[in-house]
Amino acid sequence: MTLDDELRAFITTDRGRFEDLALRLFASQRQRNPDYRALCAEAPSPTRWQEIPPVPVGLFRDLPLTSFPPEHARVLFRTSGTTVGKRGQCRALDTELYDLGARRHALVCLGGLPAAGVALVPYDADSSLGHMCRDFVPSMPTFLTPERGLDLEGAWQALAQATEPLFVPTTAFALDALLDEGPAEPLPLPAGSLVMVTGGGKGRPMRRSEAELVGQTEARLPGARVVGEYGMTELSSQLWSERPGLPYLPPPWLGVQALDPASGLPLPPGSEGLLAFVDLANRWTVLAIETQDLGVVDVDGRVQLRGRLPGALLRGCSLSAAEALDRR
Amino acid sequence: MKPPPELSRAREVVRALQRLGDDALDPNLDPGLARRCLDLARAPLTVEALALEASRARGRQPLESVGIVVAQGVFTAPLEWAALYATMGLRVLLKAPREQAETCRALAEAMRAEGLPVQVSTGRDLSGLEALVAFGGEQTAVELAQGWPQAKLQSFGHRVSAAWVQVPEAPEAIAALGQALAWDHLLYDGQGCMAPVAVFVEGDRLALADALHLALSEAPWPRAPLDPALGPLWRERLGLARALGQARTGAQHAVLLLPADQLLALALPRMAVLLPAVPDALLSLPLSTLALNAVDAPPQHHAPRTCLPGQMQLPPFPRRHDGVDMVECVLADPPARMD
Repeated sequence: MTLDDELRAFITTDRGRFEDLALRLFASQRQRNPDYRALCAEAPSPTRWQEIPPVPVGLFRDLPLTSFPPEHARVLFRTSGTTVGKRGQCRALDTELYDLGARRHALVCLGGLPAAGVALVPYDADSSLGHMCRDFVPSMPTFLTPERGLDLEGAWQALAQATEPLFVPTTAFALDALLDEGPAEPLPLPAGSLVMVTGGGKGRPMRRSEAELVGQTEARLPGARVVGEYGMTELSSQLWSERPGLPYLPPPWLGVQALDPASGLPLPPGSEGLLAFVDLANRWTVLAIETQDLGVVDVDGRVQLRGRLPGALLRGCSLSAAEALDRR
Repeated sequence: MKPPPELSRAREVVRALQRLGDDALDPNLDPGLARRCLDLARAPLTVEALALEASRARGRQPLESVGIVVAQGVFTAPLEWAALYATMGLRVLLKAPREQAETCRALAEAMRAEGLPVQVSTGRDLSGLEALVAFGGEQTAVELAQGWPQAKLQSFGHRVSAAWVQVPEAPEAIAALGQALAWDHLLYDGQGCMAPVAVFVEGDRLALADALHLALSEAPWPRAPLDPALGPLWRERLGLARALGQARTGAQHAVLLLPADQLLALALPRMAVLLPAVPDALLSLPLSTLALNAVDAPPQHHAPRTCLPGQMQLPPFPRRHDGVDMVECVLADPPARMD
């Protein structure tokens, strides 16, 4: 059985040991991925999954970070680039593990997905979020397109015409805008409908807090359950929450820990820190990722999200690190 | 003969500056480093230099009051301008950053103890001031212009600094250049617009990297704890150097060799970035200061100030700040035409 077979088996059936697979995948990627090998050159060999050196997500802007010759890539996902100017790129040979993992964990967390939907997420070919949503509900139209932007009127019409349970994936920003429009009266959705909220405002001002967003969505779209999803282009796996604001559940093939933001060293469980992931579904790039999101990993493994690490003020010139990166 | 008023005021100002003690230091820096920075910042502010610079306003119409809007960062930044305007006889309000008001408070107290009209505030009320000299981002300038349209405003936006050096051949000369550049990176732990964001290198980058690494390793003061918000960027830049170039690291510093296209207009504390010297590399940078050694052909640049390596964080006095005449900022009448 190859490592690929073992990864597939673990993601689909939980057969195998996470730590063993993580350490072997790390060894394989370090061998095949010259960028990762260079990054890990001075790191001691890990003996636990928590010791696998994570790659700061920002490096996906400048390095291919592929565990195969990057020119062979058949899949390219790119970050939205809304918080920094240069977009990160994640290349892959296929999306097999991504798709298997996404479907399985969504089923575990949500108990099933509606067969129809109304999307408020981009379907651009390089959007991993769009890819996941289309994979969940292939026939689902999106009302967020480069040509028309956010078609709120069209989205409300599609919601009003629903005859069967709907899957409504949306960014928090798009949902905020959706709630500014539409009928004054509540619009009941068929029972079993799911509104999936992901992401923040991406640096753009939002009118509503997370709690207001959820409360008003439930009031305006009675019958729909509002759930939270956390994912990012650099990760192949997602975490789900029963309700945005509540802790998020990672899948068994995704190790999560909080790091000290200054040193990058692991913090004790229950501490707030930078979230770092070891994702067995990240077969084609690097399995260990250091995000710029703050969170707490509870003792039961669930993750409380605490927002983005605030940008450092570069004292003396009043320019934040994020702004400076923006200017690249 | 009665001495000119600038001279007596300059004496009071210098006495006030000498009063500054540890309560004026940036608590985020190592105390030894902060004391050294304070000593170096007030060294050029002599009675003669202050009086001479202030006397340039004679025969002109100075305003009566000025607000200095101090940005968070280099804690000694308000010293020279508060000293100059107090010597000119202006009423001075130091608008201190809320998160870093220690130095402004201590400075105002010391000035008042010498009878000089210098006040401090962390509030937003700048009413009644005839001139505003503001350090900070573009947003600060816009807000001030809108909020206090009656005041004569001089604002200073974001600037960065860099060095452009030719690596000498003699080992001892390379070591000396490394020492000088280390000094530029050490002072204020790389804060502020005079800290080098990059060193553009003609010649043997590896040799200079080794010399700079050694000099930073022997730094007499520890680096302040890294701002948590800078941690990810620190690791990202280090990772980039490991993947695309080379890195020399110590417990509290790093020297990176990166390709020319990896210029980031951002100085991280005690992280020196050595880039190959490519033509026009400096033209896209909003430079405040450029350090140059004996290069064969000086590069094109727009820096209002040039200096030798090792002098970047040690501006002389008097001087123009980012090319601006700081006396002219607080005069009511326009400068006389030279033609």
